[in-house]
Amino acid sequence: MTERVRIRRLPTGVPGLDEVLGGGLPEFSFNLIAGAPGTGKTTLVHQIVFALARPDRPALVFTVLGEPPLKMLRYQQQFTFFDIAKVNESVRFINLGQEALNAGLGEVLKRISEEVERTSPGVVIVDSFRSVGRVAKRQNGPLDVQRFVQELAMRLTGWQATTFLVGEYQLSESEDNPVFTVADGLLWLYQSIDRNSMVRKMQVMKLRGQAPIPGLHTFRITDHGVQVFPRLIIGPEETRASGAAGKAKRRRPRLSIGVKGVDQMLGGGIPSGYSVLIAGPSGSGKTILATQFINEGARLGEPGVIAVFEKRPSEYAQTSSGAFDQLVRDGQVGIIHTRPLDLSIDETLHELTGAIHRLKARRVVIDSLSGFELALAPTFREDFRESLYRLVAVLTGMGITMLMTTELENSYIDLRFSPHGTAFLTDAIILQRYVELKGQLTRVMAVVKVRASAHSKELRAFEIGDRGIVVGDRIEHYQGLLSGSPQLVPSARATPRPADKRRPRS
Amino acid sequence: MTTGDTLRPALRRVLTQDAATRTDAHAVAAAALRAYERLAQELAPLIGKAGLNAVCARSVHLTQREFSWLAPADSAGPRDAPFADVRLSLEGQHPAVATDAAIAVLATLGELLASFIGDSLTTRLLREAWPDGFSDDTPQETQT
Repeated sequence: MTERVRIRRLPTGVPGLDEVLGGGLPEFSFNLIAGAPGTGKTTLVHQIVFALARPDRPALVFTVLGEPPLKMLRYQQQFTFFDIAKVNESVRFINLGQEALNAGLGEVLKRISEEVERTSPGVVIVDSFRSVGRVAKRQNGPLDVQRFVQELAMRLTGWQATTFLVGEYQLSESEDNPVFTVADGLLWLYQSIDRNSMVRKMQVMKLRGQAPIPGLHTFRITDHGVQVFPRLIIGPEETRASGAAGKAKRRRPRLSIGVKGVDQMLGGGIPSGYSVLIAGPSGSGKTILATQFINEGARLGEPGVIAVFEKRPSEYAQTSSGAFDQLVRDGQVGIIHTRPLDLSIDETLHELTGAIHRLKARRVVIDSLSGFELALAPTFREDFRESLYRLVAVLTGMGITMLMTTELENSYIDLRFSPHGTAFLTDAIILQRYVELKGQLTRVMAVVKVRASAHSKELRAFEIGDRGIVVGDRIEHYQGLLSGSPQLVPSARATPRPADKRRPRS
Repeated sequence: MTTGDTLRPALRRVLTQDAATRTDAHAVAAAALRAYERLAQELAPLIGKAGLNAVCARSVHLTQREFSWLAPADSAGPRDAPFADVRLSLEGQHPAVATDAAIAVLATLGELLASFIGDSLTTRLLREAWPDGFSDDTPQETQT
């Protein structure tokens, strides 16, 4: 017999957790959920219990000291996953009172074993196991704790139960505590504090038999319980697809940005799967160009998603033609409007990919990177560039063509494309500027780069009319336009030709 | 909360099943103890004996406003017998008064429980503890 045992993976019922665990919870595993008070251990384990419990394979929840059961039942009922109809039918709460603890580990093991053998549960919880460990240590010494934990693990696994021990442990305890050695899975929950913000994180420190996603994953606790946002990992496919080599090798179809003149400047539109940065000062027309990109996609049957971090969705309708609202109603365009100040990049990506799959979107706009960075919890702002790199790689790896706007102060002493140093992450850059010509401000635009593609090097004037951006001709006869002190080239006419008044395509 | 609207008639049915309760306060007290023990059997595994004792003591305390002669349930006393003093108090009363007091204590306990863990879960537990009392009730849940 050469066939290897297949470990069945149980769905935990916690959005995002199965992915973090590497495909679900290994059946019959003996796990520890650890963390400081208030990190969400009990909520997480109850959510799993209510997802897995069935009348024929019920869940046994042994409560031991810790949170009084009366309060636990009161508070856990506030979550939507807490199905009252399951209580006593498929979820059985059993309070292991002080008497059992006082009688020693043997009695605790006997009580648990009796209940397990009587009900044949599929899931067993002991909350808080820390209380058991403390009493045990006081009474019998550490060696017996080890034997107790090993025997408990053997019996529960022998009875085909998947087990969670829940405890308030410190990381420093993990070295000499036998429960950490015996456990098949070790899930650690944290509350990460940075300045005034708190972010919940979890880490799978070990999981025998399968490969979890390494690192810290953010999670939220809402009325629906725990939702995990798995940390972005760029797979080999995404690396190939988003890398310069991958982009150069394949000849990609082009997507119209929705403004004819800009398409021409880009060398025939945006290569599909590219990320484009539009950099410019406030009011230069970045959002309008981004909206035209989305509108054009909708017109061509390519739905799009806009992640808004500054304006409100209603302001988008004003920015664009009235048709924009209709596109949203028709499901051609999705708007993600998030302004909390404790986001993680992974949470944003989760929202984006959810909307992309729902709408079958091909185009994504992030407006703006400045607002996005502000919306992140302080702890993530330090890694903004690296996180953005992962986000861009994942989305473009999915074949999404994305456009990001970034606020750029008009500076006449240097030429920058992004305040975040993020310009190199993108495949194409469109720069918008104000220049002074003949005593008035004129908007100009240039395509700074399009990876692996020819493109215009011209600086072209543009205007914003009722129907969007209208690109004019190249500004000739001036030099030093970007320096803030343009000079008329001698013997040349100084008047740029007016912007093309033809109606834009959207 | 109107848990008592269905609970009190149910408790009256449970406590007066034995004909002797009409004439004998000892029979009332014994019936009340049995009813309490059946409820304790359902509740203790769920909320622990300490939790049950605390809720029981509070319900006796609240009922004393109406029946001041009730002895307090000793929540810190022997854990298996928090209702023992209540039983003694009932035995010293007229059977009808003892019945009303016993109903009041147990109904208050049910209402108190409902305020902590909700009507729905409480009703399920009460029905499991006292199936005879609720057997001819059509509603599955009490109302709030």
